[in-house]
Amino acid sequence: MKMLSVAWKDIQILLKDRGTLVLSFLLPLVFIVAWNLPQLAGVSGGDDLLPLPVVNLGGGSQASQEFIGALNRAGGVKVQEYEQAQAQALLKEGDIQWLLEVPADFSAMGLEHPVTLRLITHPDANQVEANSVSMVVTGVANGMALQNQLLASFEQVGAMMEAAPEEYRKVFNAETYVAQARSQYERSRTVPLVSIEQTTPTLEREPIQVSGANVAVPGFTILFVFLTAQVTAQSIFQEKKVGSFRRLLAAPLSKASLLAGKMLPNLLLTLLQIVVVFGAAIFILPLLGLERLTLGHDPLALVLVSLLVALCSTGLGVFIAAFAHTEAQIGALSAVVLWIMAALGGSFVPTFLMGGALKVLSAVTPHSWALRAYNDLFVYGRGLADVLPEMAVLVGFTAVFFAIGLWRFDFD
Amino acid sequence: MPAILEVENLVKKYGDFEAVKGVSFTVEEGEVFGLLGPNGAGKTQTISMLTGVVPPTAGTARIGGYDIRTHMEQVKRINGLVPQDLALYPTLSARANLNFFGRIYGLGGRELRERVDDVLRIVALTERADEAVDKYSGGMKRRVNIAAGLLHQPRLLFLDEPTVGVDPQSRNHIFESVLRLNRERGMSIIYTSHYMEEVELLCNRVAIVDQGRIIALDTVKNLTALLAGVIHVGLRQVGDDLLAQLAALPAVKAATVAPQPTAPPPAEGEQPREPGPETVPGYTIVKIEAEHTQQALIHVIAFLNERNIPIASLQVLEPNLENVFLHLTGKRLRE
Repeated sequence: MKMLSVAWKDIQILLKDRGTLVLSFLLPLVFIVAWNLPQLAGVSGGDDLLPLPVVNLGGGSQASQEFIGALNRAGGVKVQEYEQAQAQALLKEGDIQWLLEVPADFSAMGLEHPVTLRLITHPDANQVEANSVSMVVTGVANGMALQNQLLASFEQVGAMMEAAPEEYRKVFNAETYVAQARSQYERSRTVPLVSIEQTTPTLEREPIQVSGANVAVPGFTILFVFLTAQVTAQSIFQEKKVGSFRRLLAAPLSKASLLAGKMLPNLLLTLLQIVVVFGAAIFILPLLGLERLTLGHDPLALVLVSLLVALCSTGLGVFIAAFAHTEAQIGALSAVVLWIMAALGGSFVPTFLMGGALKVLSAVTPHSWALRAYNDLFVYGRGLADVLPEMAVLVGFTAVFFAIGLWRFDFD
Repeated sequence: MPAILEVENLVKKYGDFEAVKGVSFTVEEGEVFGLLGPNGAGKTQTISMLTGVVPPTAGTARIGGYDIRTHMEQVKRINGLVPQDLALYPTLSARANLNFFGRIYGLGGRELRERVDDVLRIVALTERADEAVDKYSGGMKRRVNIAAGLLHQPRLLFLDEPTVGVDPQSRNHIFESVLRLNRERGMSIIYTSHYMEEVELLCNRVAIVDQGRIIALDTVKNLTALLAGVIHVGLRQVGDDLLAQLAALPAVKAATVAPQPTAPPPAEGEQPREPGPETVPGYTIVKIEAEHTQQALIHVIAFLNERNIPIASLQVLEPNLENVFLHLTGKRLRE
């Protein structure tokens, strides 16, 4: 009961500390939105087709129009036609990344007259995307070239039949062959000889939900939850500094109740942080056109992991308070311990992108284990049984922080 | 009346440093007991041990019959502490501070509300009780600090330097509150200070503390009586013969070499300071204890003039605690 009185007093003080409240709740949201904003720049009209600026020097020729239509039907690109001067100006400025020029003699494409399409790529263009565009253009061009070659072949055969007897020429002539070939090409578009059937097998688990939100939100949440440990350390230090610690030691209040009462508000604060940040990631991010956070399928595991993260942060606060004896020491120790642990633990860069020694060091931080647990739940859709190892490690970290912190705590 | 507090050879050590070197004293129920001494004498350390803030290194004490080493939980319910530092939460109002401290002492509901209103009346802060403490003057903060110590109606109240940094008006108010608490409510009070005027005004008995020890303990009247007829004379060459001759003068009880006033130790980075104005380098202070101060003074001056013994300094010590401390230690209370 007295522990609750101590906790309620600290909560009252915290509610008057607007700076801490802003840092604890608003800043994580700002980080998450800012981190996910590049998604908005990359989305265009709700689809993911690469733009393909085209200059059709062949003008209104049937062949060039057929080619452009084939490019649009191929998928993966969306043709945008420009005048030559305009397109070159845009390319020069970097407003478009590449430009396809259909030559003026495109319609004359044939066995005796090969044509060349020019795909001009800006030096700063994304090479992966440029290669994708190139492959689409090449595929469509080869298909069209094959069509033309076959038709030209049939025309040659037709010419040869001119020399054949009358009764054969009435049936087997160039027009017949070409008409037959054209109808086959038309038919191949609707009833292809070779088709590709794409299927997705049913998995025993939910599919992976890799998204910017699912990766970035837990990372930043854990960063700020553990930064709140500094708030705990500051609260304990201020209690000693203002002299109220002395009065409380003279009161019928056990040291255990005193410390527990100091820690409870931090625990509640961090739990509330998690709820607010995750809630904002679910409901507010979509309103900004960003991907929402998905919480997986095991709410019990989510609650237990979050509780452990909050406890671990609280323990870390006691740990810092036990070693720091001035306000400056709290700041310095927090900066070193909390920010470095966050960086190593994957709050900024996922640990799977780290190599060698960094990856090994990340395992020495509670942050990395908390992130692994959240990734298991949010990205891989796993359950409580799968996150038990991570939870065990978090329990270990919490126990070590509390044990050392309480052992070193100076009540004098 | 039984003693509310019995202290037996209380010791506090920090490593090799002995802050309290075995103090013993008792405080009667309903008494205002003073602990007078300079900064660093061991007053706060003694109170800290008696209130459970720090454990004693050796010795013990009984408060209300409970041993502090074995029944501190019960002792804490009897004690009230008004610490030297302002032990308040500045962003909370006075009322919120008092509500919190009251709950720590097990008060709640209507009883807590009534007690908070009562102590606010005692310290005359009812009108501003709902303002944040950081908006108060220093004196007002001190009054809230005192109020917090009174909430649970302690039998024994420890007031540790309660008037430090306080304006005269608030100081007088504190004095009145202390006296009223003692006279009207029978509260036993231990009052520590390095201001002799406060202790003389408020306390029934005073223990003079210096360097972790009690060097004198008695009523104010009896302590100041130590100085009745004390004359300090500064002379160049003092030998046993001269002392014997001075002691043989009419109206003189004794003549001895007094504890020589020493310069206070310099603070870190400071140059060493000279001793007080009553000393002259190269001269020795002789303490003349007189049966009748005025007559003894006349005879001493006449004697020294006859023998052409130059008098470097002459001081008739007023009977107050400051001079009692000086008489006993050679130092001033406030250096």
